[in-house]
Amino acid sequence: MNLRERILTALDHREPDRVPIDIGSCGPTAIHVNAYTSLLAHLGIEEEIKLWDVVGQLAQPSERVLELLGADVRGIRVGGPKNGTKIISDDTLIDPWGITWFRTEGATCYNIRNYPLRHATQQDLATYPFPDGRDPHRVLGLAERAKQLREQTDYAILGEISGHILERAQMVRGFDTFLEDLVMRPAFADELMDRILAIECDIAATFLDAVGAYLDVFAFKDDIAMQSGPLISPKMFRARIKPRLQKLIQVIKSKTRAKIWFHSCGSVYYAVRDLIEIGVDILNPVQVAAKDMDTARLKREFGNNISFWGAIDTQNVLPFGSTQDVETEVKTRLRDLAPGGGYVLASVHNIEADVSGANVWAMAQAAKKYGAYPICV
Amino acid sequence: MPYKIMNQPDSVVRQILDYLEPRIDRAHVERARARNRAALDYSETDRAPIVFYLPYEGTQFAPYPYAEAFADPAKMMVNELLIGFTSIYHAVDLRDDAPYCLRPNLGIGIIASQFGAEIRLVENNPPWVLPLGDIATLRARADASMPDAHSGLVTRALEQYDYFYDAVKNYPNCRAAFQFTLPDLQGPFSIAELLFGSAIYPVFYDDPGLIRHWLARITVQMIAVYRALVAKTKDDLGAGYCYQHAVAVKGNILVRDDSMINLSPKMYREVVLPFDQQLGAELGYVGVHFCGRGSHQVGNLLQIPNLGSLDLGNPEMNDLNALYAQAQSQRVALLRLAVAENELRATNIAQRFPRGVNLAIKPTSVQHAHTLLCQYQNE
Repeated sequence: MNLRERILTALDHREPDRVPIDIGSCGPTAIHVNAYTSLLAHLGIEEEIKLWDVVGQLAQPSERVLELLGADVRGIRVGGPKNGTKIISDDTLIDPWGITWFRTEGATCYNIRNYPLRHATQQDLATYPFPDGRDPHRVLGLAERAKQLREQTDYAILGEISGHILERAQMVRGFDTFLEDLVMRPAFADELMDRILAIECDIAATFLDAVGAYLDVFAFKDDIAMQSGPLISPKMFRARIKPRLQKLIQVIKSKTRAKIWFHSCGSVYYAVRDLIEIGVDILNPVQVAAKDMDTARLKREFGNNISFWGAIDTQNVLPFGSTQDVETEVKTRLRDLAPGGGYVLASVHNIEADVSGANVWAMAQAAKKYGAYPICV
Repeated sequence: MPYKIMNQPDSVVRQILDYLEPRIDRAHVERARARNRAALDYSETDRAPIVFYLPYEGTQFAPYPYAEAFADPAKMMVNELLIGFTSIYHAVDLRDDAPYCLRPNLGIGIIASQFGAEIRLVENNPPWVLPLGDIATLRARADASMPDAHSGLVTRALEQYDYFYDAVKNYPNCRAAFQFTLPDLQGPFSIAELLFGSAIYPVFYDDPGLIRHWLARITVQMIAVYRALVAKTKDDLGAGYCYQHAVAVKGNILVRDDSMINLSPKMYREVVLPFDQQLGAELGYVGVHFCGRGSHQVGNLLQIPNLGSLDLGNPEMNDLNALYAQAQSQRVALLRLAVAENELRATNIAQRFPRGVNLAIKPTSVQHAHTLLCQYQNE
């Protein structure tokens, strides 16, 4: 069984030789440059660290390190439009959506400083310079990279776009303002989300026209929950967000046979059945510290219909636990999620800046040690 | 059901008071008051005070939609009796340590409304407060004349107190037991966030002086509004204490400081803390409330002069043992602690938090509360 078969078998809800591992294939499983630096020190490796994502300060792990960790997936991420990101200063940039990001002194990532549509009216949406989802610059070189991965390696290949609809609307409008829009200015909110959806559909189509034939997994994201529950009411999610996610998935499915991987942080228990209904195959990141995200219950209630990708706690265990705690956490998630397949082990979202290299290594080692099927933990 | 026939709000108020009046045990109320007061003073008590936030399960009366209660003092009183922090309708039978508190439940925008923030009622929600506008607007309005302390929603709050007093005048037990408490006045920084919206956070980098300027205005206004309202309250805990959130508070006022948990300790200390300190210096004892996890700010909060208590909106998100150790060293009381159900016994609480705390528990039902209260009292 090669690495790609390991993943595909697991995602087909069957047991491969061992639970697959993902570290660094995409944004939500990536590793912060500080944690990666610590990991290199732990492993005694010296190498030049490449930054893969400026805003999140995420490292591009080297092939050598990924092989040591036992990572079974490699990622391909859609690029930005030509001249899409403007670097304003050492600590400030404007992204293709017009959102200003800045990094304060000592901060480990960038945060939003200016929401470009904060005070916009519905008329303003017609003239706002939204990014071009069809810009071919987004996929420069990606087909070659995907073909090379497909033909010369046996890694599973994950393709990633952002896909944010609700979250993007909040990013351009302001978190609180868009929540108000949904209730007080529904026509504005819907038009904004429709414009974003159209762009994301274009991005997905452009990306998949280039690499769709090579992908095993297609990943996109939209945060629909927070730590303590839904970000908006389930009723509103079902009426306003779910149909738009469904439309995006329809575009994706028309262009690839890859499994559909959906990321939302937080307490998404309320929406899992909906996500299955619209065609999501894989749920990420399974934020186990959030409310209602008990992994045993998730597996019991939804495990036949959706796979889980993530679940190793990054809020408590990875940053603050001992290596023994990490091993215990890995065993817990393996016990809950791995039997019968349907589980890819990864951290819950990024491995953040305050995670020690020792704990990253402990996670990977425990996954390999205890992840062999049949699971006996 | 008589309510269905006599459904004028004033009649409903009277019917509920008729129901409550013979059930109020004034001796119990006095025992609870004394226990609440002593606990906050770090004096010895037979057990830590405990309050259950009871859901309303009655069928004889029905609460009103919030927007109707907002506009009508009688409907608001009905709601306060049925679905306030705890349902007084059921609490009189439970006999926990809950004070029977009623307040002008006008939301969080009372002071923001005086500065011109629009208050909007959306569906059946508490009032939404809309920011004043962009940062240029906040700059332009930074030196406007100070609002009248009786303006905005304060007028409505005063009207509500008048209604409360009038409603209970023929009910001696209700009149004695009920507490007519301050409304939610928020705190300087939480009000500032209401006025700025979330855009306030980058302003900490761009122009912290603008935030300080507004905090200074808000703090002065908050003190003026407190003084305008406090004379209308009825609060039997005595000077230096008050009831809020249906628990006893060590403090003449409970300052809501939810937004400060979004700040770094340094940012809070340098920009916001001086104004919380000003409240403590001018109003005597103050309590400070925050939701979420606030452990990173507790060191700062303990620098507020006359800090009497810390009120936890989310005790489950905080390391209570560590927090208690910090608070105990300055005899600052911790309010609304909660523990796992199987640990809810007075002896356990006394071992873990010997003095200076009260508890607030959210049962799943009134019956559940009765069961838990028996367990707590080791009956």
